[in-house]
Formats: sequence, structure tokens, C-alpha cells
Amino acid sequence: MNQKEFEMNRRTMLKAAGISLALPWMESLMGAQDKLPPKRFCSIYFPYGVSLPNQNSEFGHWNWFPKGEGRDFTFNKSLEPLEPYRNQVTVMGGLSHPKVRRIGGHDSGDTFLTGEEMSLRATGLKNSISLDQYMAQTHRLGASTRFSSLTLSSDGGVGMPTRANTLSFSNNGQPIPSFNRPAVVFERLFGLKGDSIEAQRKGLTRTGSHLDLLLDEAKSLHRKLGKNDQDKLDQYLTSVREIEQDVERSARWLDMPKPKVNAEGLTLDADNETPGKLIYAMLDLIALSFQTDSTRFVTYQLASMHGAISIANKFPSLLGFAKDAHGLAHGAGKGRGAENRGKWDLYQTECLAYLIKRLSEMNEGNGSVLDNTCIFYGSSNSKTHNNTNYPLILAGGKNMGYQHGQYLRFGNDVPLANLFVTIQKGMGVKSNSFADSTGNLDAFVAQHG
Amino acid sequence: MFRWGIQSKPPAFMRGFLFSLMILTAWLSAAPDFAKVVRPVLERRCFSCHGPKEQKGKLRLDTLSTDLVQDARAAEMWQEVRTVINLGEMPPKEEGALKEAERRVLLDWLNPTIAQAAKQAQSKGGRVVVRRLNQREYQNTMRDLLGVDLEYTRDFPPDGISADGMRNNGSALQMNAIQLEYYLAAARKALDKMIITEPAPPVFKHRFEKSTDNKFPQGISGGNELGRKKEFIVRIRKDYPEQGRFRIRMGVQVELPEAKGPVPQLHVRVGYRPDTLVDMATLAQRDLTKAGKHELEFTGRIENFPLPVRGQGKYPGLVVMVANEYDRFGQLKSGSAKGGKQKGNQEGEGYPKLRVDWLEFEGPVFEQWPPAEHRRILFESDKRESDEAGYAREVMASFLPRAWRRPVTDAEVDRFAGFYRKLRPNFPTFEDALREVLVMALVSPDFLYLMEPANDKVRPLNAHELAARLSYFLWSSMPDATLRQLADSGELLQPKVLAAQVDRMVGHPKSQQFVEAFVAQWLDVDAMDRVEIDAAVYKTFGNAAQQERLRAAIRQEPVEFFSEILRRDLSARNFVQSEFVMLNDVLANHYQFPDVQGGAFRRVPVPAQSENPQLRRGGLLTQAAFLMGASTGIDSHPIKRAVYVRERLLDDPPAPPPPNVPDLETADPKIALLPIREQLKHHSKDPACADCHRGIDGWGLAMEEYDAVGLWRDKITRRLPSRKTTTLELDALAQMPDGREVEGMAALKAYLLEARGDQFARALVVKLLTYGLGRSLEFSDEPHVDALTKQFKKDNLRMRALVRTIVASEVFRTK
Repeated sequence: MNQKEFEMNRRTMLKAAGISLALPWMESLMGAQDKLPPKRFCSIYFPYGVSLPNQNSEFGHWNWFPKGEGRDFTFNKSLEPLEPYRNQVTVMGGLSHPKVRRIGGHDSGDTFLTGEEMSLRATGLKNSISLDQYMAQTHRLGASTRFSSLTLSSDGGVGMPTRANTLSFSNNGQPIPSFNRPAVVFERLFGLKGDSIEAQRKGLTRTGSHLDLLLDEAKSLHRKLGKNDQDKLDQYLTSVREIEQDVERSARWLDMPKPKVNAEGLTLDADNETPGKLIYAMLDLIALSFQTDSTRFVTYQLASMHGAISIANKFPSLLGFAKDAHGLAHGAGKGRGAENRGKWDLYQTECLAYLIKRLSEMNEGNGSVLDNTCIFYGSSNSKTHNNTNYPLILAGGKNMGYQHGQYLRFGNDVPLANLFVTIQKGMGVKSNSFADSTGNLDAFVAQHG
Repeated sequence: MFRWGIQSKPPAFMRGFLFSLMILTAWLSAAPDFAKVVRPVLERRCFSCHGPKEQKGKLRLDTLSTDLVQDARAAEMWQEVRTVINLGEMPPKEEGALKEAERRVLLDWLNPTIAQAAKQAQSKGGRVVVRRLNQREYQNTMRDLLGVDLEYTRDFPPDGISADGMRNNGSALQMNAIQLEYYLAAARKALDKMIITEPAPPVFKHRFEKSTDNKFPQGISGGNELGRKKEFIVRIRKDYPEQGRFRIRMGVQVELPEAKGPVPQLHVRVGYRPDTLVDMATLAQRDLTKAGKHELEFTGRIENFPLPVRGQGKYPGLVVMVANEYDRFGQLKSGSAKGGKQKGNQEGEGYPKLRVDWLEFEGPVFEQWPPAEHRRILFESDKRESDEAGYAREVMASFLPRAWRRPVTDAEVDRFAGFYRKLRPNFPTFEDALREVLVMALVSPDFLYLMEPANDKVRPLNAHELAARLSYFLWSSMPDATLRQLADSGELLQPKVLAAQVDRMVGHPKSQQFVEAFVAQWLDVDAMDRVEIDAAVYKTFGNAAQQERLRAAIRQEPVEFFSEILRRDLSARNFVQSEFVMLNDVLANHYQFPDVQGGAFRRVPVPAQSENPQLRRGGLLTQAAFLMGASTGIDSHPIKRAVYVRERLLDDPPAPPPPNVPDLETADPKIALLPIREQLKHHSKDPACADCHRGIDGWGLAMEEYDAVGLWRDKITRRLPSRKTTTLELDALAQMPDGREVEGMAALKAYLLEARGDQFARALVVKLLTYGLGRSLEFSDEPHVDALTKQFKKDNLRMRALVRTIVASEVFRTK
């Protein structure tokens, strides 16, 4: 296993510690009211569900879900890496998005954070806003960092409907393109521009006013187009406006130098041929982006549910597992197939455990970054093709009031969106509903003060 | 088909609606008649609980509308009905399951009816949606427009793909802030390099007659005589440019031991970043087929190579490495594809040899200062000194029509002249301000999108729009000067002129862009990259560098093959069966074809009668790119192969498996040992699976003669759940959907041509037209496809003729 140490250059870290790393949120431009450590949200998704042999069968110890229930439970093999963090995690079974149960088994990836019924009939394959964007954009919780959110995946871009390469969808259900190359993410988060701040400020001001001119230009074009074309041009106009907002945001951030993070040791050159390095580089970047308070919302899709399109489908075979991702999902129900699939589940859990470890080692306030980070990990299938009983883990976020150290089972009358309501409340959203929620799960997992 | 995009409201083109509906009805005539055949089954089996007396689950079927296009709610209900039938949930056990014939009738009506209603719901009225340039198009356009060959799109997020697999589909190509941000950055980067205010930079020249003897990673060392792990390496410590074009000249000596024997392959690489371990980038690769002394020259753009960061640890300077690829890989002999250790060529006895006598580096190179690309935009003019604003207007008046691929109005030029006046005070120099105005032109929708402004009424394209559509179809780039002139004069609208342009464009090297893009999208060549080959079984995939080289050749084969058919205007039947293959040395070695030397692809005849079954090749289906892409990495994947044939070659993709059906069970040790045919039978015991698999399995089973890396086999190797491998007898006997038996690849190809020839021709028309239009096809396109197919057959399926017919067609020439 890749036991990579946290590879931020130690010297840089010490030097920068008091200035730009440890307490960036204190200096945030939001001003003095923001004295508490920030709250973050990270969702990690994997496709095709998990190994689910009968708990009492020969390979029962590869069943993803723990034995027992409530506080009295034992991890099976796939979740064993979480044992050291037992009191930082809650395992949940039985939940799913009710509307998504009606769509194809391989179609549910896009809806993991939206709960939308993404079928042709119901929505014309249109999605709705994802939980991360709902908190970051709609409720402006992402407004006080340099980047309002960060969207990561193994394939990059948007993919295609029902096989999106992203977990994040905007207010109008448009997919937000994801980044899949660690070097690009690093450059975006921490890359330094050679220009002086003054020069950059000028540049930004210009961009702002220039885009204004462009908007006028585009609007006059708009009138000459038919309906479908107008829709496309609307995307363009929205993008221009968003960049204008980004420019304003960047201008506000100018006086605040980007956190100094040394790339040495981060395996930024990792690509699809070296999936182990790639996944760990992404996890390192998530941890760094939180530690430096560069953003508070990250989604990371380990692979999409499209064996035929996702490059990540071959990751397991590259890493020496028995088959590719989709191949492993076949026959995960019993026998040796359950074991093969279980080993991949275990690998994925190790990745999650690594992120938990990284965040728990980053000091912040009286605790760690982990205490202020809600990690939501899981899949939109139980077994492949099956959109119920999602395997889910909620980790971290002690300061959001989570009561961890439990294995909770829910009936399928409880929409997953109820958990989202609890998550968003923990993050500070003043709204008691999300998508098709019918309540919340506060009583089970959290006590919001 | 299905797309991203803002839908919701009903399409506004009601005119075409009745027409579409007629076609829809005609199309559906294949489905059983509802009143006569389907309703009686429902009446017998369903109405008692879901009819006039009872409406269990609030579902009443006897009054449910059967017009799924008009009634979305009914469509949803029928979809539910299909699901419960597929799952065998209805009728309930106590009522007795549906008889096979009953199920058949219901599904034969439900499947096409639902699919077509869904397609109708996605309609864009059969019209092209304005689409933005995709990565390939943007890259080529920027290069052709600005004359600076930078890698503009290296960091762009990947483009969206349409459900029919295309990357140039207007509905799938989204715009968002991140995308636009990259466009903005790319335009600024380009214009920073082009619009120059600095004096001419110093030009560095270096001549080397001896290689450095430093050690480099992977055990490579330097020397003038190239050999295995021996390369000619130079390091320029300080004096090299970081911007602009550079030129490398070199003198080499070639020694060829035998006529028609192996040839050396020169490989020049530049740049090296020890900090990020980014590998060097290739400047040039060339077969040297003549013995004796040669002088060679290569140029490149230095920004496209991985440059080291000055002053960092282990700073190597600019590194240039010259290798003989033959020494790196070439000692592979035919027959070694399945493994066997290759012996190194330390001494090179009997092998083709290369010696580098000298190498010169020069950069930046430019004929004049500022360079030509700068002068093309900032041309000489009387106003340049006297009237800045007036000159800025002149510059934009000349730049905008080229950038926007159409004539511009005075008002549009005025607007940009206005931008300039507004911006000028913010910038120290005239050039700085103008640069930003040019950037604006390059992030405006007129540049980023193929704009064909039209209201809801269908209209013919004007000459400039046609030039652009044509140019993005066949070159993936903007129109060149010739096309522009023909558009300016309107001559392009004449059929003869248009046809002549198609011929010119197909013959132009830029058409390689079309071939690469279309082949990749039509055939999903990327599939091979999503499969990891089991190196324990396929030894040639054991060594990373060797695998990379072999994969590159495999990936290139379909591109070269398509190119050959298009350029020589051959029949499309060759895609199914050809008497030639396109090979280079690496691929010939893999396929065990003798006597193919050098890295360049060329046409190689397939021996008519050969003892060696490996040589029975030809067409797309025996190409490794496809066979590998539709494999498990160790064994064939007959289902993937079958789906591939139906989807890509016949445009008849099987329906996706209904939700919650069991997968092919391969984990059960007993089942894992069964031959694939038996496994599939086992799977098809479930009637929900059997329905579809009847139409699928045969296509894949007939191809069982080929393994996961595209080689002929007489035994099947499979890995069991226990991870051990086992061997099974080859069995390629297949029953086709029409009941005919076909055994083996040769028979399958013959069957395809004979029984499905028309379907194949039509499918190719559909794929090429889809690509050419940049949109998915709809019902209203059926008559166009029919007409094009008819003409295609008349033209003996010649490819170039098809391109010409498509371009001349009404559907291509209207917005």
C-alpha cells in the first residue's frame, strides 16, 4: 500500500505556519465575525456499490456493512481501515434517493448529491442542484474563500448525462466540469503568478470591464437566434457573468497571497496509468485545500458508472485486482466474486482512511481540520444495477455535532435527502429541506445546537 | 438521442411535427398493432386488476393513452408497465406468469414505442444547434488564425460527449465559467506572444560534435554512435530561448546491413524536468531508409516542450536527445509477440546503425522582427504612426472577418473600435490596448461558436456559413484563404465548385484531423485505453515502454486504414473485409506479418491463401484496437464485441439491460469453468435476459477466434475467480439473430456483407452525417438518410463520394 507521508515541504510549512497556513480563516476577508474555524464539506463517490455476500456465508466477512447495529457493531474486512477512527465515523445502511430508484441501475451516479429523477420522461435527463453547490452557491457558504468549490474526478470534464464525470451540478442542473489532473488543480489552488499585485489588480479590473462590453455584444446577437440557439447562448451569458463574479472575488483576494505550498513530494505527475498515485495526490490536494482554507466544498468522483466511458474502470486491474471495476461488480453477491470485489472495497476504504488521517493531523483551533470537515462517502448502488440501500459513511465534523461511532440502519421510507438536511444544517444552512426530504436525521447522527 | 441541455418547453417547430409523426408511425409499423394484438393480451391478463372494475396501485390500463409522444404521463405509466414485466413482478404469482408469447407481444410494442417517444421528446426540430468549438477545433483554429502553433488546450477540461458518442455535438458541448476562463487565458497567452513590443531577442546558436557523457534516467548514457541505451545527448546550460520557434539541424550517418532489411528510426526528443519527472517531448520521428550521410532539419515551438526551471536543484539545462528507436525496440522478431526475452543490441552486429556527427541548435528563429504572425495582424499602414484609433479600427476590420469566419458590418467594427477607445487609457502602449481588444474578439461568441443566426424558420446557409461548416467537417478548423475567397464571391454555393472543394480538402493534409476525429468517435478507439492487458498472459505487454509503443501502433491502425480508404476513394465494404491491412513494423510484428520495416504505416496485402491463420486479416473487425477495447484484458468479451458491432457498424444498439436484472454470473466456480456459450445460455434462462441476448450473442461468439490483444488463437485462456488461469477449446460457432449459423470471423464478415450490407451502408451514412452536422439525427432526417444511402450504394459505397454527397445534401446546407 502506498504509505505516502504528508509531503508538504516541512520547512515551508514551519515558515508559513503562522502566516498563511494555520489560520488563514482568521484573516479571511469576511472580517472579524468569522472567528471560529470554517466548516467544510467533502463528498467522495465510487460506482457500482459494494460486495454484499450473506453475512453468514463463507465469504460473509467481505460484506461491506458491519455486523451488529447501533453502537454495538463490528467492522467487516472492507471497512477495517476505519477502526482507528471508529469514533469519527458513522456507517449508514438502507438509505437511498426514492426518485432515483425508478431510473436505470447504471444511471444513478449523477444523482448521488441531487436526488433527482434523471430520466427522459421525468426531467428530460436534466438534473438539479447538488448538495455541495446548494450550500456553496445558493446559501453562499462558499463565498468567503478564494474558490467557492472544487470539483474533482478521475475522468475530468462533464461526461454525458447519466454518466457524468462530476458530482456537482449547478442551480439549473448543469454539470460543473471536474478537474482530473493533480498538476492543474495544484496550479489553480496554489500556483503563483509572476506579476505584482498591482499588475494583477489592473488585469482583473480590466477583465471585469471588458467582459461587460462583451455582454452587450452577445446580447445583441441573442435577438437574432432561434429558441434552441438562444438556450446555448444563455449558457455563454451565464458563464460571462460568473467570471465577472469570480473576478470580483479574485480582486478581493489579491492582497492575500496564495498559501505557499511546495509541490515537492506531491505526485502531481500522476495520471491514469498510475491510479494509486493519482488518487492519493487528489486526496492530498483536498486536504491541502481545506487546510489552507482555499475552499470549503470539494466533491471527488473516484469513477463514473460507465465502464465503457470511464478511464477509471481499469484502475482496479492496473492496481493488481482481479478485474476492472465493472467486472468486479459482477458476482459481488457471493463466493469468490464477493471476496474479489471486497478487496477493492477495502482499497477504497483505505483511501478514505488516508484522508481522515491527513485531516486529523492538521491542527486547527483546539482540534483538527477533521473536526470541522464533514466527509460524505459512498455509492448510489448497493450492488451493481441496484439503486437502493446505498453504502454510506459520514466522517469527521465533530464540531458540527455529529454523534459518531454508530452503524445506523434505515428503512427505505427514509429519503437520503433527510441526511442532506442534517448535513446542511451542520454546515450552517438555514433551511429545513433539500430535494425530496421529508425531515432530517438529526436525532440519529447529530445534535445541532 | 439524449443530450445535456436546457430543455423543458415543447419544441416550437410545430410545422415539422406532423411530418415527423408520419415517419414515426411508419417506423412503428414494425411494432405489433396495438388494437389488434397488444390490447387483447392486456385485456386478458391485466384489466381485471387495472381496468374498469379495479385500479390497483391507481393504475388503469384500459383507458391509458397509447399516444406516448403527446401524453407524457401515459408514457411514464407505460414505462412502469415495462419495468414490472421485465422484472416478472406482474402479473402477480397467483395469477400465473405471462406466457412467453404474451410477454413478447407486450415488449415488442412497449420497447420501440417508449424509445421513439423518448427520442421525439428530445427533438431539436431536426436542426443544428449553435455549437462551440471543441478542443480539437479550437486548437486548430487558433493555430490557423494566429499562425502560432502552441498547445492551447492542454489544460482544458474534457469536452462533453453526446449519447451517440460524438464530441462535436452542439447540445453536448456546454459552456460554463471554467471553460470560458480557459478560453480567456488561452487567447491572452497567444496574443502576448504575437503582439510584440520588445526589441528582437538574442538568438542563441550552438553546435555540438560530441555527445555529453552524463548518465540519464533508465540507464541511458551519451555517445555519437547510437545503440541500445546509447543516445546522442546535448545539454544547453544557459543560453537557450524559452519562447519562440527553434531549429535543430544534424548530420547523421546511416548504415544498412541488408537491402530491404530493418531500417534505423531517428527519434529526437527535447526538454526534461527532473523535478516533476515529466518525460521529454518528441520533436521528430523518422525512418531513415537510405544508407550514407544525411543532413536533417527539424523545427518546433519551445513552449510546447517541458522546460526545466532555471536555478532549481538538479537543473539539467535544455536537453536534446537523439535515439535510434530501432535500438530501443527493434530486435523483436516475428513470432515473439507472445513473449520471449529480447536480446539487447550492444554491438549491433547486422543491425541498422545510426551515428550522429554533429547537431546544431538555433533559437529563437524568425525571418524578421517582429515575426510574420505579428505583421499579419499589425500590418503596415499610413495611419499606424499618425492615428492610433484609426489604425486600431483598420486592424479590427481586417482581423474580425477572419476570426469570425464571416464578413462583419461597419457597426461591428465600430463596436470594437469603441472598445479600443475605452480601453486605451488603461494601458501604457497602443499594442497593449489593442492586444486586449483582440482578446475580446477571441472570447466573443462569434469566435467560440459556429454561429448561424436564424429564427425558427429553416433557411439555407449563406456562403460563409457553408464554408465554415465544410471546413469544420473536413479539417476541424477554420476555412482557409481559398474557401474564404470562394465564400466572398459566392461561388462556393455552386454545386461544381463545392464538389471541387471537397476533393481539394480531402486531399489536403489537414483532412487528417477529420480522419482522426471521426475514427475516434465512430469507432470509440479510446475503448482500448480503458482496458488493462494481463501482462502475465500477454508478455509483450509486460514492459511499459514496449507496451506504450505497441499501443500507439494499435491505436493508429484504424486511423491509417480509414485514411487509405478515403484518400483512394475505395469502397466502404473494405471496413468489413479488405484484401489489405495498414501496418508499420511494430504492428506487423504483433500480427506476425513478415518483412515490414520502419515505423511508417503502409499498405500491406493480405496473402490470399496462407497457412498461418494469423495472417487472415482485413477490415475493422480483425484490428487489435477493436478486439482489445472489447475484451476483458485477458479474454475476449463477446457481449461487448457484439454490442460494438451493432452500435458502431449497424447503428442498431441493443437496449440497455432493464434495471435490477442480474448480471452474467461469473463468480460461481462451476459457471466460471463453462464455455462462454454455456455461460450465456445459463444467463438466458431468465426470459428478461433471453429476449435481448438472442439478438446479441451470435455477433460476439463468431469472433471468439481472436483474443484480448487481437491475435488469432486456437485455445481460449481465461482467469477464474480464484485467479488461476484455465484453458478452454476454441468454439466460434454462432447462431445469428435470423437463425443462420456462422462460424468464425471470415464467415461473420461474409454474413455482414451479404445479409446486413444495406444496414451497414446506412449506418455509415448516419454516423458520418451525424459528425458532419454536429448534431444527433432525428425522425425528420430519415428521408435524408434514405436518399444519401441510395446514392451511396449507387456510388458503389465509395467513401469520397459519400462525403461529396453529404456536403451537397440539403440537410447539410440548411440551418
